[in-house]
Amino acid sequence: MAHLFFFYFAGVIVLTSILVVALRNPIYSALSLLIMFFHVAGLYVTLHAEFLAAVQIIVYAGAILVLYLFVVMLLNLKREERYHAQFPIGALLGLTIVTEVLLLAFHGSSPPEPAPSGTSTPATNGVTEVAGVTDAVAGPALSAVEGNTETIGESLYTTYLFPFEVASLILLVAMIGSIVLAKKDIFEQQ
Amino acid sequence: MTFNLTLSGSDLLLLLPEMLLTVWLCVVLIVDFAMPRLPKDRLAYLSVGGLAAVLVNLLWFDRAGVTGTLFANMFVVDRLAVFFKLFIVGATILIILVSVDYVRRFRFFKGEYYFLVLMSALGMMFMASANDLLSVFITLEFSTFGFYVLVAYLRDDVASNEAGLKFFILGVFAAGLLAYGISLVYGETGKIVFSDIASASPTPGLVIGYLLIFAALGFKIGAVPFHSWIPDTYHGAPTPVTAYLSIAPKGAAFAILLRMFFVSLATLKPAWVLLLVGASILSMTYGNIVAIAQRNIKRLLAYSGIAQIGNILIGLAAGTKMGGDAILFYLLTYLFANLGAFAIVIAVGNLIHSDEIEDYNGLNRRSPFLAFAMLVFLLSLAGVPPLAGFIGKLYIFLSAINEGLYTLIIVGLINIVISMYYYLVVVKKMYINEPTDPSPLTISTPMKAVVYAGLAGTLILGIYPQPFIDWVVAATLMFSNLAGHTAAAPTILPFGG
Repeated sequence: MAHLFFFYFAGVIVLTSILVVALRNPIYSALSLLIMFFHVAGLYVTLHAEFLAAVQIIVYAGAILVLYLFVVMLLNLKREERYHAQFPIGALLGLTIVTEVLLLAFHGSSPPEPAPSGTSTPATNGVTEVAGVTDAVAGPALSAVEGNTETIGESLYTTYLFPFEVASLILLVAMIGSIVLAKKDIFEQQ
Repeated sequence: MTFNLTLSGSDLLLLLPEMLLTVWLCVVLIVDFAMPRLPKDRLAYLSVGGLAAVLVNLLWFDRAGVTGTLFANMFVVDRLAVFFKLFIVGATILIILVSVDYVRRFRFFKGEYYFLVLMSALGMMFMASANDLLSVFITLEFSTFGFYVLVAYLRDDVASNEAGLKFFILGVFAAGLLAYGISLVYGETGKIVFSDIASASPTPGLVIGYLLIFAALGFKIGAVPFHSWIPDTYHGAPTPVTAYLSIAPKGAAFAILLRMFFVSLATLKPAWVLLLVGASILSMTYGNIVAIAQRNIKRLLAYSGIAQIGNILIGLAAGTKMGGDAILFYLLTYLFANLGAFAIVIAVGNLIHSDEIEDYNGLNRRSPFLAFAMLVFLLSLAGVPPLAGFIGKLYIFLSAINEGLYTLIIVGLINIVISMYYYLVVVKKMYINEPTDPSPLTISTPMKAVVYAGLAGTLILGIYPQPFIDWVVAATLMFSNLAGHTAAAPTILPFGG
């Protein structure tokens, strides 16, 4: 069973990665990238790394959204390349998701639905629930009593403190560097 | 939940040079921001002051023999790490001094230039201490990030933008190879610390993993066949950045290569000697032959740099402690000669706004000092006897002769002759050809200081190398149980652990 899931996820990852490069319409490329990230998150779930899976979805889905907007804004696509006549379906899906979010927001204290809980709950709910979810998903395979998130947090701030701190310096370089390379109005000021 | 991070005062002491530099580069950034009226030259001297403090701190580490490991063996301070940190900090000081005139030509972001140079220096200091694959990856990326920005610093110059883009795309590709290689090695062994993976048996996955890591590091040092980014990047980048790129990251990458090949892979030496011999021969021959055809002095030095890396790889192929010593010594001689030569290129470039070799015609008439200094640096790069480069080449060839790598030596000697040709072509232009514009050239004080430092280093290392040889021999004591040829080396323990 685990093999089946692995090959499914791996196959989709390979396929969508190729599509990202091969598709002509940049919007489709961005969407394939999104599908690829979701399946990477799926791989993490099969490895019992729920926290990583959640981070993968939260961070990359957000990033893809930004990328998507940039594609629409910057690349000057032709009007017919941007949208198709899919407004009713889109509206229906959007409405469903909004209802779902509202339901979740107002019944947040009740136990989560079984289907997507493995990936989404660790980030949204408190630490105490994570242990329960982990046990439900992973079963006896995970021997640790503590939750996945706690373990990652602890080793990140103890054993792996050094790379963690260096990564923070990398962010500083990236920040300054992007300003130096991309600040726009500098030529007009001179 | 319990956090058991035990960092005592003496542990933090090991991080003192890096912490000093981190604080200092923040100071530079804040001063730049808070005092907009301050002339930007002052920032250069402020940076040099901070680096000098770090240098003193490292010299004290070296004299007092401060050693130790931190974070479960991820960060190691041993004689080798201290040597490479001194090397990097020294190179950074000289680079900042040669940058002063050049930065004046920038139209904007003058202060951030010094900040980014310091940041890259910090990243390379971390590289010198990286003792496991995870910190290798993260510190390597850290140091390269600063360079991505520095190479593309001339925003209104097309060549600089092109150089930055090429460097970035190929650099990210190399980072991908490195990450893939590391994941394979980790998957095969379950360990990431260099000394822990030493005992692993060579499975196919492990071999592919190490090859990928070697490819990524080969990209950093610019060895053939991973050199394709070098000529265009060196040509387009601001010249002080080219000078920095040609020496400091290569030194830091050799710190990692030495730890990887001499610690993790010591027992598999017969398997990798051929790989390194091949890379060395290709780098020397390709670099020297293509250098002959160059018209631009920066491209000439780029190709000569590829050839010099081939020479240094001879020491790695020897795979003994003596090979390690020779690499360290060669890097020292290369630091002074190469940085000196680039200082002249920057000085001449600032004055006549050209990097073409044709424009060096009659340099002796225009500035005898610059021409003489260039002569000394080029002869040292070629390996002419009284100068540092000769001792460096001799040392590295001796270490290979002890291991019986005669093919490598013969190819190396032929290449010295080839390299002599294109170095001497420049010398001929400087001394014999007539200048088109005979007006004299004068250079600024910081530039003069760097040229004098280069001359002093090249002459002292050549005439009285003994103290420096003692120093590099002491720095590589951790490799002293590497056996010579035939006998298999025992497992190496990290020094001072």
